Amino acid sequence: MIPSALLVSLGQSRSNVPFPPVFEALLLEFVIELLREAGARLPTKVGQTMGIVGGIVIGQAAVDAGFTSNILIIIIAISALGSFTAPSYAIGTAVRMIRFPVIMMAGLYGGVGIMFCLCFILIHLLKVTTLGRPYLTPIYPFRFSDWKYSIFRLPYQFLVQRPVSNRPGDSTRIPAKKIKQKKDVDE
Amino acid sequence: MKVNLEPKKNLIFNTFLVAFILHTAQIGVGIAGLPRIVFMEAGQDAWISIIASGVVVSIVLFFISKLLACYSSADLYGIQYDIFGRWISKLFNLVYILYFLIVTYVIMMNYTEMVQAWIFPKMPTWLLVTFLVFLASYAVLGGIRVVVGVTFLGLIITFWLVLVIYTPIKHLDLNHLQPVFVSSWKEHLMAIYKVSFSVIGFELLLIVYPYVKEKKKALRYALFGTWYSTFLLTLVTAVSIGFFSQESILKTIWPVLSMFKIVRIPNLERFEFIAVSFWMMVILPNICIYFWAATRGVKRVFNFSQKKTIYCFAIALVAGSFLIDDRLTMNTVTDKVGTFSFMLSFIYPCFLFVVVKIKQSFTKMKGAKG
Repeated sequence: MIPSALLVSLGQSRSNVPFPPVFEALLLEFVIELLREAGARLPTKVGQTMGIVGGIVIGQAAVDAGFTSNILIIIIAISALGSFTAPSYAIGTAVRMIRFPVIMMAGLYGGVGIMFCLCFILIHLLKVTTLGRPYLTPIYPFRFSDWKYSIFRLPYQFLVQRPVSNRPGDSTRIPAKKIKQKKDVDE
Repeated sequence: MKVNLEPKKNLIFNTFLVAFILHTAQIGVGIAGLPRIVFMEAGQDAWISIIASGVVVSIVLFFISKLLACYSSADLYGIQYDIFGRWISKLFNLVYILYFLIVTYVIMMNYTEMVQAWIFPKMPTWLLVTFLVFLASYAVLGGIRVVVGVTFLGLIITFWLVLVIYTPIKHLDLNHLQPVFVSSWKEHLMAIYKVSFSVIGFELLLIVYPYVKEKKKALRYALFGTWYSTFLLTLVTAVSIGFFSQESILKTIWPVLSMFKIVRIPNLERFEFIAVSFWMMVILPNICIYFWAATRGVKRVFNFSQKKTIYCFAIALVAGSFLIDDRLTMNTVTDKVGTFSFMLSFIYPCFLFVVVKIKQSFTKMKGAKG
């Protein structure tokens, strides 16, 4: 499945690790969760130092001690970074929690397990409602006119109508007289 | 039982989603093995038979939409109730419910077979079927909106799989497709008959119709969806005939997956593993919509709680997975269901249309006299 050139470096990195990859991944995830929680409780100035010291020192030491492989540390670190890119912190937390069952399923059933989890998440997102409206709203139910509020954010003056999917009582957001009139150059 | 349904306003979906429902219901496990089956009948002209089957599907869809237009917003169960009366209609509706359930079962079993052949030879059948049943029941418990959402997003997420076919096209040998127009009519008819099990799914228009917003436009979008799937099937068949030699296509059970074998990404050499697991997303809309149709039928016909039906059917499907454990039985079952599906989704709707027309003209004459 993996090209032989890549397989060599993977094998080298994993050659002196005694654990199966799933266990390794769960262990590292646990360490990262621990670091994050510790960093959140500590005062801001110390917290950052803790993060750096913990991340670099523990990561390096774990590889040296033969606990984990280098490649897995890269993967886990990237996925930990990825969970912070969610615009809302709460969503990032949800993603963090979902990750554990997905890792387990991937370890047990490979690609099929991952796809099972993805399908489950997809169906779940379709079922969830926030304040009575579907969670995935501008995508499904498909409302192209609402994309300007979420997927592309248009300049303020174009956002005259309120989003359809929120079913507003008053659909105009900017009253007609307040819309900027087109002017010629020197008027 | 009411003949016409008036679903709640929040359950009605946009008309263009009909195209997505029909397309995803048609494309499923069938497409992976289709090129070989058609090739066995029609030789290198197989792609012509598939286009012909698209024409047949369009004709049947036309009749279906005419049939549905006779009522304001009825589904198949209601129409049969109106035509055949209380007791006979129950029997006929039960046949359809069982048919939808069995199609769900066959799709799941075929996918399981695919996974066992390509990735996990030792994975127990019941386990994978349980996964799929779990997903399907979870979606169907959310109702028609979630099921339609799965078809919509399922298509969008798996769309990139179509682009992968570019790699086999590069290795295409056009000589395999020549000479054209050599198969006889009889071979083409046989091929269309064999394709029929892969293109079923359009008959679901009979069930989802009450939930469509603008009913007059339903036919247009339905045709759009079926022609897109016909296009995909034709493309896949033509490419795999050109890609494989005549001897090897007859020996390859899943030509589409075998073609994926040559796709190479720098960090991944065997692409078909990804493709087979990703296929779950392709068949998920398929099983969801059929499962929904079956459970919806029980609710309509016997007025039994749909939730309980879902649980019962889910247990029945998992239990059914223990029944078949070898490839040969699976093949015979699939063939049998194929024959059934040809009658129930191609011939019967046209027949029902004629009966409805006769009945309506009859009642009109009576009304004119009285």
